[in-house]
Amino acid sequence: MTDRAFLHAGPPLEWERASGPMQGAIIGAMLYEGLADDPEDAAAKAARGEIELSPCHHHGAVGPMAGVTSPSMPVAVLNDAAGDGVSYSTLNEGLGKVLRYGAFGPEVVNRLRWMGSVLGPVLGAVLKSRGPVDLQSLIAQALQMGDDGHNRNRAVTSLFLREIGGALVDGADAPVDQRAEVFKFIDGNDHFMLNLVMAASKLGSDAAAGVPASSLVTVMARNGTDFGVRLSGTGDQWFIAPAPPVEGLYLGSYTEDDASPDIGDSTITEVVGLGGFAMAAAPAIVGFVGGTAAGAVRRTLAMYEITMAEHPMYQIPMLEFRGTPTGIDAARVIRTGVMPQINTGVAGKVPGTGMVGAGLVEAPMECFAQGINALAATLP
Amino acid sequence: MSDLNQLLDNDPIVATAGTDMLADSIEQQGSAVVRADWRPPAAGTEAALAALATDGRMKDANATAVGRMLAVRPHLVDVAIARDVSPT
Repeated sequence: MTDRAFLHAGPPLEWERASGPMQGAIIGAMLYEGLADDPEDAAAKAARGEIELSPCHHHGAVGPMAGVTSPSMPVAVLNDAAGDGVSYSTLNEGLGKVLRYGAFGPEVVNRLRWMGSVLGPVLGAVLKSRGPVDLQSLIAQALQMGDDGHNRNRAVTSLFLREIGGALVDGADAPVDQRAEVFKFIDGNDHFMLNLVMAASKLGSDAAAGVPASSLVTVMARNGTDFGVRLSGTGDQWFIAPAPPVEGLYLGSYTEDDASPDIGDSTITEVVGLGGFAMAAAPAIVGFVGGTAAGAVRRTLAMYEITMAEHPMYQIPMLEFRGTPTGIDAARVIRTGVMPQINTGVAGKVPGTGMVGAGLVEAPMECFAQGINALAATLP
Repeated sequence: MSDLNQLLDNDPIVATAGTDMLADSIEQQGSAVVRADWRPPAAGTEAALAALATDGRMKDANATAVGRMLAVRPHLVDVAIARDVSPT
């Protein structure tokens, strides 16, 4: 990527059409990059086209919520050990006032600087010292410990910290106080692994892309303005509808009036049988996104109606270790009217607000209808 | 005697599909109803669904695509700076 490239979540977007949290995150990333003196300067420069906006998905990457990835940010690099795929994601900042939810205050930018100068280099050194971490194994274990891989990542984050613990304690070439800071940061953020689960999901998505005549959904992604879908058989085309509002639980005094429409690449987890599709594995999640534990099971069961396979590694104990419903068939979505179920966070609509809640949302039918019509048009 | 001739000897069980009007009405008249959860496909997609079904390649294509999705083995290998690694 070039020095002016700013990646973002969802389908392609221009500054003028960007939602509050997306504009806020772009402003924060420009401040982090030293491209603007203050938020007003950043907004003016972005409006003049001084940065180039481009979807993460066009660059082998995924980003939660606004998903803004600027050139100097540290990114996780994932490989497919069974193929030649590579994917990337930023590192997770935590909850509350964070860039991905559109916040750009000094605490946000300072945290990003620490992530660039300490977190990224220390994790890089840890990985060099101990070797690659098998993420699929960690995700599979975490589903049996109450995670869904999208909005509940407490188990997988704990497993990851154990996985790297030895190297973090004595193997990595980094000062001890920095290694302690990294331990505390990951330990204090139950969502740390979200970005890595997303990048792992992206590898599956990319591997499945480009099969002629296939109605498999390879991407669902939102930028806060539009909801976009891609199908395997239609390659790089986006099928777009307005991003829907999220039904959810709100933090503190926030209400749905404060909420931005649906945003983020994190729906890549639902594409590979996690998140809303694995909700039956995560009954405790309803305390975060709303609904009931029985409803969580019903949501997963409904997703078997529109998917092609049961995941061989991602299993749900409560369903007698049945594999999660994986591989959304757009044709079956159209035929049944059963819509993909998504667990998600909610960003404040005013730039700079940050997180206001979390909840449940359905993908819009219009995207799948466009996709199926385009797929039929590819037939000779 | 064929099964058809027994139709009026036993209580009927009626299978319905689509809107609930018919099922509700039959139930009110005291008969058992099995409701099939069916609705027409999304408007404007009928021709495309028919074309995909007639073409016949979708089934194998989907098996190939989802097979590739399930075959990946993601590993975290490094942390790098975005400008150094992400393809343009």
